[in-house]
Amino acid sequence: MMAVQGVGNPHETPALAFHDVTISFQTKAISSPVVRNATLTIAPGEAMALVGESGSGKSTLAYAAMGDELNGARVISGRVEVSGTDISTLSGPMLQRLRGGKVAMVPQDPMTSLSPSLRIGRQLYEVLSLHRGLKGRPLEDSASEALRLVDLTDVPRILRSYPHQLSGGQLQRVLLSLAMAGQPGLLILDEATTGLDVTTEAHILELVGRIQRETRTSVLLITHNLGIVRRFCQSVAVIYFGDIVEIGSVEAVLNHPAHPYSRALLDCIPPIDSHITGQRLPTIDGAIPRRTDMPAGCLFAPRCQRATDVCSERVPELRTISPGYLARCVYAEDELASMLRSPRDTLLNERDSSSVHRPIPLLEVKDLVVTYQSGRNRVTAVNKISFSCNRGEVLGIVGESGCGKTSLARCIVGLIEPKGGQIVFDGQELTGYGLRRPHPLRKSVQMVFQNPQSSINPQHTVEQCLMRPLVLYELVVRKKRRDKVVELLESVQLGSEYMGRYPHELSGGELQRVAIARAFSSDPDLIVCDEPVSSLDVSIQAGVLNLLMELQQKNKVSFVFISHDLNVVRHVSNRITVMYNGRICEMGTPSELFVPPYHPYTEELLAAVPMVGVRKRKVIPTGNPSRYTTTTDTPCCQFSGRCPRYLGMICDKSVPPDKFTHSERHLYCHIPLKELESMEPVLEKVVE
Amino acid sequence: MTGDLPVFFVTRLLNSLLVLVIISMILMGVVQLMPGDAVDMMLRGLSPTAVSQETLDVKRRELGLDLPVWLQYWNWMTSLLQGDFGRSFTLNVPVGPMIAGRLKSSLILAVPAFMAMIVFGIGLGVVAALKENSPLDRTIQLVSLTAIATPSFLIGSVFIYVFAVKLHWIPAAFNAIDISRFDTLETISFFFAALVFPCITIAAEIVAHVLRQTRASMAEELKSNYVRAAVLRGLSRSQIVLRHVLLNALLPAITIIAINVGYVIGGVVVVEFIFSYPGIGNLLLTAIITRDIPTILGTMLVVSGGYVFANLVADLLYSVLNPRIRLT
Amino acid sequence: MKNLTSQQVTTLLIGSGIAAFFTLIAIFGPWIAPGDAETMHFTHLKQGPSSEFLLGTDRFGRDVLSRLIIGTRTTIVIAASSTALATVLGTAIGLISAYFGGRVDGVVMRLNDVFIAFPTLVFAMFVIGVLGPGIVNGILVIALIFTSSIARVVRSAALGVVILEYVDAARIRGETILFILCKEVLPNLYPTIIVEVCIRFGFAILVTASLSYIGLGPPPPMPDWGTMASEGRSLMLTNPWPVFAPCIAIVLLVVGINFLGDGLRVLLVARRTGHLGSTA
Repeated sequence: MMAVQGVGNPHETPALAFHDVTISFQTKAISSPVVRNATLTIAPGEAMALVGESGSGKSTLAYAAMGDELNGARVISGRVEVSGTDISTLSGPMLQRLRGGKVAMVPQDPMTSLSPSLRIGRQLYEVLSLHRGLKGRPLEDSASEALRLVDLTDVPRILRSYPHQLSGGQLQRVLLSLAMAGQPGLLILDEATTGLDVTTEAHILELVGRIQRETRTSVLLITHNLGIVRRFCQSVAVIYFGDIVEIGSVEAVLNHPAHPYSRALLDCIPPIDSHITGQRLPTIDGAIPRRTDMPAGCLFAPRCQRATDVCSERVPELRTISPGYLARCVYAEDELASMLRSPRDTLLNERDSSSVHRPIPLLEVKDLVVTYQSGRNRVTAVNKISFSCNRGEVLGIVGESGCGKTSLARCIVGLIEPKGGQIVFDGQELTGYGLRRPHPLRKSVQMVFQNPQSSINPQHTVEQCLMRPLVLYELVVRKKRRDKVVELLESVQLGSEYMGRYPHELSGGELQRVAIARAFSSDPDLIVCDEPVSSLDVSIQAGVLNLLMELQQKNKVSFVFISHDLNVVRHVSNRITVMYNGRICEMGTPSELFVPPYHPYTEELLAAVPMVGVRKRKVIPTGNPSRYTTTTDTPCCQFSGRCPRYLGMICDKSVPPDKFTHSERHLYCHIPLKELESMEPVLEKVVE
Repeated sequence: MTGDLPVFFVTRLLNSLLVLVIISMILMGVVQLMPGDAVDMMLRGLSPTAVSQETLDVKRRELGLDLPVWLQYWNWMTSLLQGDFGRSFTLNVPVGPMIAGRLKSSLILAVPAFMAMIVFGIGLGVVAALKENSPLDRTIQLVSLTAIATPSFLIGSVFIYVFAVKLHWIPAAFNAIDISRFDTLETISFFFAALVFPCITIAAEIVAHVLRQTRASMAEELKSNYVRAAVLRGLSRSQIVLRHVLLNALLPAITIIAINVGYVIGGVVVVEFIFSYPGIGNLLLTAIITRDIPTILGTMLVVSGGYVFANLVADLLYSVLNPRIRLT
Repeated sequence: MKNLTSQQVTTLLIGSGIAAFFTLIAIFGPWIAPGDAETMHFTHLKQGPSSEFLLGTDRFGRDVLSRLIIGTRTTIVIAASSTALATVLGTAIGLISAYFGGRVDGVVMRLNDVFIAFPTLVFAMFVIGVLGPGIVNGILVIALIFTSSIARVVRSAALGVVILEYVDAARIRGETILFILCKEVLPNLYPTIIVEVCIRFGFAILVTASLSYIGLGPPPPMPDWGTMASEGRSLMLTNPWPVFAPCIAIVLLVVGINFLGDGLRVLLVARRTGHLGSTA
C-alpha cells in the first residue's frame, strides 16, 4: 500500500497501516460492522487527518490502532500494523508496551482523562519510568523537560498540581506531554482540540505540528473540522458511516474532492463571502443510515445527487484515481471534473446592515454589569457593556469561553439579574422587574440553547413540549391547540408523526428543530440563540442554520446570535460584536470586521479560526504568556495582558476609547486609528 | 491553599457541637412529652392507688421534675459539662460510671467487628467489582443482600439454636452464670459464645453494607475515562487499580463506615438483647422500660455523641483525602 | 422489555412476584389463614409442624401459620405507611433544597445531619419507649428518620437536574416554581426515588420487626413478626418454627423488595431513554 505521494518515503515501513480492516459488534447472531474494509497508510513523519461525523467509526479505528476495543467492537478481519508489526500477534505485556511506547493517544476530554487524585508530576513520572526506564534525578529532569516541550511555563507548580487546578488548555498540553513521554512513532489525536477555545486550539495544533517536524513523529488527527485539516495535515481520509470514501493529499481532497460526500461536507461550510451574497447553505438531503437498515450498495447513494442504480447494487471499491489518491465512487472522475459548487439560491437579503433600513432599537443594553460568585471570589463576567439590537436585526456575538457572552444572554432572557446597568426592551425597562417579569414580556423574549438533548425535557413528548407555551400564554383556544402544534412542526420541516415521540427517539438535528419551533411558538420579538448549531454535525448544521435564518426573515424576529465560530456568526449576522473578558472589543458589520482596522483580538481570532476557501497569513500572533491575567475591575484594557500589540502602561491603566464615534461601528483600543488601518490584513484573498 | 484546612476543621467541629446541642434539646423535648410520669412509674407501679398524691409531689420535687423545662435542661447541661450525668432513678447509682462500663463492653464487641468490616467489606467489595458480573460477583452480591435483609435477631437465634440447643456447647442464657465454677474448656467456650457470636452477628450486617458501597463505587470508577486513558498509556491493570482507582473508590465508603460506627454503639441493641450482653444498647432498653430518665438521657447523649463524632472524623478524613476539596 | 438482559428480567419478575404475594396476604390475611391468630389450643401446646398446624403451635398453643399470615398486615402497614409519609416529605424537602440552594439548602442540610446517620432503631426505641408503643407512634417516628435519608437522595439527584437547560427554558417562559418542580424536575427523578423507596421499605420492615422483638412494638395480642420471633425464643429447644417462620418471611420480603427496586429502576430508565442509562 503506497503512502500518499510527496510525503515521506514510500518505501519506508509505514508508521500505521490498515489492510482491509473490518471492525464490528458481535451480539449473539448478528454482526453489525462499525468500520468496513478500511485501508490506509501513514508514513513516518506524516500527518494524516481522519475526517468524519459522529457515528462514522473514526474513533473506533483509532482505538483499533492501539489494540483496544471501543464499546466492544472488535477487529474481525484484515490486518492492523504498527511500524510493520501485526497488532493481533502481540501478547498482553507486549501490547502494554505498544500503548504509550509506540502509539500514544491524546483523548478528547482533558479534565476526565487524568486521575483526579494524583498529582500531574506523579502521573508523568509513572509513564516516563514505564516506557523509558528512568529513575531518580533523570526522571525528574525528563518530567520537567516533557512539560517544557509542550510550551508550559511555571513547570514546578504544574508538576505539583492536581488536574482540577489547571485549565482545559493546560490539561491538554499535559496530556500531549504524557503521550510524547514514551517517544512514540505515532501520535493519535482523538478530537483532542474539540472542546477548546479557537485560539488555544490553534496554538496546540501548531505545537503538534512542530513536534511532528522536529521528532519525525507521525500524527493521526481525528476530527470533524475540515478547517484545521488544511492547516496542519499533509493527507486526509474521509470516512462515512464506517466506509472510507476518499484518501488523498490535503490539497487534492480539499480543493477538488473526488467523492460526492467530501464535496458535500466542504459545501456545508459558509463560504467567505456568504454574508454579502446572502445565500443559503447547501445541505445534504436525507439522514445517516440506521445500523439496522444499511443500504445494500454505496452507503451514501440514498443521499447522493449523482447516484444511479449502479450505485445501489454493489459497494464500490476504494480505487486509485491517481497515484496516492483513492476514492470509493463509481463516478469519481466526473466528480473531480466538476468545478461548480451546488446551485445556490439567493433566499436571504444581503446581510450587511443596509438591509435594516431604519434602525429601530428593540433591545438596548446600557452599562450592564453581571457578576457571579465563584468560591470565595466575586467574578465580573460582564463589565459595563452597552449596545443595541434593532428590530429584525441579527446581532452576532463572538468570543471565547469566559468572555461573558453566556452571562449576557442569561441576563437578557431574565434568568439572572444584573448587578448594575439597564436593559430596555421595546421601551420598557426590564431590570426593574428582576426575575419576576410579567408574562407579556416573557413571551416576547425566548431562547434557543446549544444542546437540544438537555434543553428539552426527556420526559415530555414533542407535543407536550410545544403545547406548553400555547397553554401558558393562552395563545390559542383549546380546540385549536393541536392544529397549531402541527403547524409549528411543519414550519421546522418535521411531520406530524413526531408529535408522540420522546426526545431520545429524535436525532440531534431534529431535536434542535423542535427547540426552534418552541422558541418561535409564542411569536416573540427577540430570540437569543446561544451556540444553536455548535453541538450538531457539520452536515446538519447547514440545514438548521438555513431554517433559523428563514424563520427569522419570515417572522421579522431579532436575533442575538452567540457563537464561538466566526464563520457561522459572519454568515448570519447583520452586525457582529467581539467580546473579550467581559468587555466589547469591536463592533461592526461582517465586511467591516474582516478588513483592517482590526482590534488586536479580532486579528488573533481571524488568524486562528480555520476557514475553507481563504488564504491566510500563516503566523498567529501571540502575546507574552507571562502577562496573561484575568478580569480586573480596575480601569484598563482587558486584553492588555494578552495583546501582541501591547503599547505600554497606557493599556494597563486606562479604559481604551472608541475609535469611531458614529453609533453602529465601535473599536476600543489605545492604538491610533491610522496604525490600525495600516495593519497587514489577515485574510489575503478569496480562493474560488 | 492548604492554609484553609484548619479553618475548615474548626468550622466542622463547631458544626458538630451545634448538632449535638440540637439533639440534646430534642431529647429533652421528647422526654417532656412522656405521658404519665417517671415518678408514677416508680412509686405506683402496678397499684395506682397505693401511693398518695403528696408522696408523688415530694418525690417529684426531690428529683427536680417540677421545675420548668428550660431550667431542667439548663441544670442537665451544666451538670453534664462538669461530668455529672445525674443519678439513676431506679438504681440510685451515678449514671456516668454505669454508662462508661457498658460502653467499654460494647467496644469490646465493636472493635473486632469493625476490623472485620474493613478487611472483608472493602476487600470483598473490591474483588467483586474487579470481576464484575462474574459468578463470583453475583454470589457475593446475593450473599451480602441476604445479610442485610436478615434481621439480626435471626442470626442471633440461629447461633443460639445451633450451639446452645443442638450442640450444647454453651448455655442458652448466660447472664446468670457463675464463671468461677467453670473448667478451662467451659470457660473458653463461654467466652467464645459471650463474645464471638454477638461479634459475628454484628459484623455480618456492617460488612454487607460496606461491601455493597465499595463494590458500587469501585465498579463505577473502573468505567471512568481516566482508567481508559491510563490503559492506553500502557499501564498494567494492577498499577491502575492500586494507584489510580482505589483511593477514589474508597472515598464514598468512608461515609458508610462512619454510619456504621454510630450503629455499633447502640444500634446493636437487638444483638445485645438476644445474647443478654451487658452493653450500652441493653442499658438503654432497660432504662426505657423502667422510665429511668437520667439514664435514658445520658445513654442517648453518649450514643449521639458517638455518631456525631464518627461523622465528623469521616468528614475531615474525606476532605483531607480528596484533593478537589482540600485545594481550590 | 426489549432492552433488558434476561438476568434483569428475572430479577424484576422475582421481585414483583414476592411483592405481590405479600401484598395479597396483607390484604386478604384473615380470610386465607387456616385458623385465627388468637385462639389458644391448650391441647396442642408447643408442637412441631403437623397436618393440622402446618407450622406448628407456639407456647400458648396458637397456630403459627395463622399468626404469620395475619401478622403480615401489621408489619406491612407500619412499614408502608412510614415509608410513604417519608417519601412525600423527603421528596418535597429534597426538591426545595436543591432548587433554591444557598441558605435554604444550608439550613436543610444541617437539620438533615441531625437525623441522617442516627441509628434508626435507637431513636425509634427512645421515642416509642418514652411516648408509648402503638402503631401511629411507630409510623411517625420511622417516617421522621427516613425523611432525612430520602431528602438527601432526592436532593442529590435533583441537583443534577436543576442545572439542565430545560429548567432554564421553563424559567424563561415564566413558569411558577411549583410547575417547575413538579412537572419538569420531578419526572426525571422517578427512577432514583423508586429505588430509594424500596430500600427504605426494606429497612422499615427490619426496624419494625426489631422494635417488636425487643418489646416496643404494637401491643399484644396483635400478631407481629417481631413479637412472634421474640415469644418463640424460649421454645427453641422443642420447636424452632415460631422463630424461624417470621424471620424467613422478613428475609424473603426484604430481598424481594430490593429486587423489585432494581428491576423497576432499569425498566424506567430503559423505557424513557431507549437505553440503560449509559451511552449507547
